[in-house]
Amino acid sequence: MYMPFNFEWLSDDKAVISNLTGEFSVLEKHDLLEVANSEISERNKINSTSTFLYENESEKNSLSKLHSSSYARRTLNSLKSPFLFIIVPTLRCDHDCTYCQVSRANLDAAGVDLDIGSIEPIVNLIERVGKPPYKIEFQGGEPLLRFDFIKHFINRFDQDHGEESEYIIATSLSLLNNEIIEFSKNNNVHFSVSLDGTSVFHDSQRRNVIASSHQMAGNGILALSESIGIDRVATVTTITRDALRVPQDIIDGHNNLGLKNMFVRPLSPYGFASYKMDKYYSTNEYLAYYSKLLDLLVAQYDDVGIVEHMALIHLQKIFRPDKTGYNDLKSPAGYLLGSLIINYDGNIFGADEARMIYEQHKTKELVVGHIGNPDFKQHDAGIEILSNSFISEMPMCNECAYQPYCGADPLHHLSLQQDLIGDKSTSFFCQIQKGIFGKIFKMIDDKKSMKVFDQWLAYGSR
Amino acid sequence: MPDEKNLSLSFSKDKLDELVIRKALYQLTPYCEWELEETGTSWIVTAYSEKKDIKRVFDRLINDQVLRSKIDRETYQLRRKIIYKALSDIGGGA
Amino acid sequence: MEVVRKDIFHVISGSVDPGLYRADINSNRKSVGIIPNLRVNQLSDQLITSNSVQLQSDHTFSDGDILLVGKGGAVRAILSKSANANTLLVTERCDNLCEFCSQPPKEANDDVLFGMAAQALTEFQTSDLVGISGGEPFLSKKIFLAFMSTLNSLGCRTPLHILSNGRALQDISFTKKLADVCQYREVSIGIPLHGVRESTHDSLTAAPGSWKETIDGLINAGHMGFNIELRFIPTLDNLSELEKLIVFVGRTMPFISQLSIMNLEPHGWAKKNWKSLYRSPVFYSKTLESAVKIGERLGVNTRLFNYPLCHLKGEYLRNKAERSISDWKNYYPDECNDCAVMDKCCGYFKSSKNMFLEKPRKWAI
Repeated sequence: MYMPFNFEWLSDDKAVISNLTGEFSVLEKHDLLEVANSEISERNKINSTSTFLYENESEKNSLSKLHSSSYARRTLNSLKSPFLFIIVPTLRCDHDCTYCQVSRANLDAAGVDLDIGSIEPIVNLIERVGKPPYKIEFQGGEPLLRFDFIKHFINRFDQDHGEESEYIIATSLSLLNNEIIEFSKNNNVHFSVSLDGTSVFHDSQRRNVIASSHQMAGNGILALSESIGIDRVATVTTITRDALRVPQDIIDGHNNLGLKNMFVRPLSPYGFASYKMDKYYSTNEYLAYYSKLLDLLVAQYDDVGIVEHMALIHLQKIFRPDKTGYNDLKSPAGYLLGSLIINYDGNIFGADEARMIYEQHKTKELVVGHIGNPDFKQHDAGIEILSNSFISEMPMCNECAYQPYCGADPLHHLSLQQDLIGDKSTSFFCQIQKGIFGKIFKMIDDKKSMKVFDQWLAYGSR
Repeated sequence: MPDEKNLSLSFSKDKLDELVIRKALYQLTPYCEWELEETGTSWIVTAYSEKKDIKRVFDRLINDQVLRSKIDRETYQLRRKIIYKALSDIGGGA
Repeated sequence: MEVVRKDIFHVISGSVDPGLYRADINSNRKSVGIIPNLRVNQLSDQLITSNSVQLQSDHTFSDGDILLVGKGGAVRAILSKSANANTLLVTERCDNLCEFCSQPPKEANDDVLFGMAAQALTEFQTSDLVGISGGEPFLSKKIFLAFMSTLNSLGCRTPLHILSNGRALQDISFTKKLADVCQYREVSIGIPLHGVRESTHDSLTAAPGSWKETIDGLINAGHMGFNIELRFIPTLDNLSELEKLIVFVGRTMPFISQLSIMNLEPHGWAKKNWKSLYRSPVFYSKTLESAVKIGERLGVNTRLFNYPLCHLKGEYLRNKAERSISDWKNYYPDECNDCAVMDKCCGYFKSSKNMFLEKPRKWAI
């Protein structure tokens, strides 16, 4: 007799099963059919699991309580993950990337910057809503255009919280100079840099009028590596159509700069990119690319030793769902409960996607408040968004084997399908997640790949 | 739709649940347009597509849903109980 | 064969009434005044002396230690600054009857032991961890809560590690009261789970319903935020469930702070049932390593207790081993004197002799 469980096909004859505790197993088709027909033979692989089967009413009762408490704990955990504060000091940018998600502004644009005077109310807000350890990220546009603001802010915040704060600057590094490097050395500053491959691919989509964006990024990474250490530099790679053909390129692009970590993501539909969505690629095309990329990284791990963090996050969610918080893969969603965005105009949003949607459509309902006004207004939209992000009860999610590890992303569905829950059968988010989970479970089922994944997991928990 | 081949499939109501058919159709949406009609004894699915493998794809989706509904039948009540208990524990501040 | 620390002595001259005493050697430490002082002069052997065995360390007990003088003149240091670990017995009664119990239960009412423990702890004034064991310490819930309350009101702040079968914790109101009375003290609870199947656990505890209650207890304790150490004792009857247990714990009890896998101690009933229980770790090293690695992946912190290093295959497992045997029942066979890692090894229980001794092995490092 078996507890409630879900399954997804990994191939024609293998399926992954999972239940509310998060335990999973990869079964061959005949084993799964045996279970469904309640005729489990002795050599059925499900016998080696620990929370799927019970022998009598008493075991069933105890297991039910355990399934229940696991599910409750995971849900609560989602509600109390560490907070990320994002500050957008300017929307101006010296790049004009083809896939820009934030509707960047020109260098000479007016009215798209935060005033130094706004630092004090922002600090008050962070102290009120968050608690140590603090994680504060500067985004843009190009945040280094307002290094003055960043410097002021960090100096101010460090006065009271220097020991317990981490700052991240998301930048192309085109404006990196010695002053910035020195300052970063003396403060706990980390960098998040876009690196889309070797120069051909990177420059074709990340355009800067002055020089090769790739060259500036590369020089910046090397300079930071020598001064503050490579551990404080993380990269983000956005894959566009051209890059799909050559998965080795992004590996080389990182290896050439001595980078041991990468984070790869598909184009997202926000900002400029959404107008040209159909010019990019289908989810199947992306998944075929990503699958090859992971195979290459695993095969080359002994040589290049690179960890891919999108996969690592998924692995961490699979093996330690109670101990992993990643805002985009949470149920209920990380909206408002895991992040706050302070925009260049002083508006406050509950998620990065929310400000992107606002930028495009001026959706007032998504504005949570304003730093000039110390009280948050009644944020009805927030309750609506959160209550529609419990995936265990949504169509398709409720019978998906990846549910214990996946998340809701209601704003993604709001943007693309004009509905918070969305139709998962056509959802970009869902197809990508299912594809990534499917590939990862296939690799988990392979001894050689799992050996490398164990090393990634060990790295991730150091 | 004059130029497209329509594939028409009939399922006896004795053999298949409405829910199974509807769930399979939900998943068919990315592949093609479809229509569902009902008679006294059967369900009739019309798939609007030129693709040659639509029947195979749909058969697989039906099989998948039959398997899921078998499993669901065994465990539906228990699952609801478990989730209800979990959510009320959260509400009670456990 | 000598134990690492001798804890039993005899009164050679003078007479001492049976009872609890505080050892006063050099009047260094201040007394709380709950337990009478017993002046001990070690140099002149005037009041108490050890028997003729030579000891490894200079002092077998220290100023401020708590001594229990028995009727026949035997003296035992029940709490000692010289000990590597201190554990107090608070009852010999238990509602489980584990096949490998090293402290087989008795039925007589022994609540008086709680009173003595409260006095001893308060007088001893240590901020090091002290174990509370039995029997089953939570068997009488009222008495246990009163015990904790007494410690609190006497100002004793000692951190405690309580060994329990966890069954009493199925009572949510007891668990809440326990959390309340422990809120200003570091408390952890060590709870054994013998298997993932009810039949496996219940046949090893010889107590029907014990698995169900222990699971309920673990769930409640987890919710109330207790620090739980889960214990697994491998035997011939449950070894096959070790890997499943790690997954079970990792998935349903992520709140446990540690999983301790404990090698059998050949004492009490374990001795009686040795042949049907004991499996040499050398023969299940692979399973052990696989289980610990699975645990690592799931974030379960696994440690190995009571395993001599030479019984574990490979560096990976040896790094998980703890020096876990209380010094008063700990010894190293002569062969160990040649061993390069003796100071990292837990050695053997003093009861591991003759047929119960699995001899030290030679491994090349």
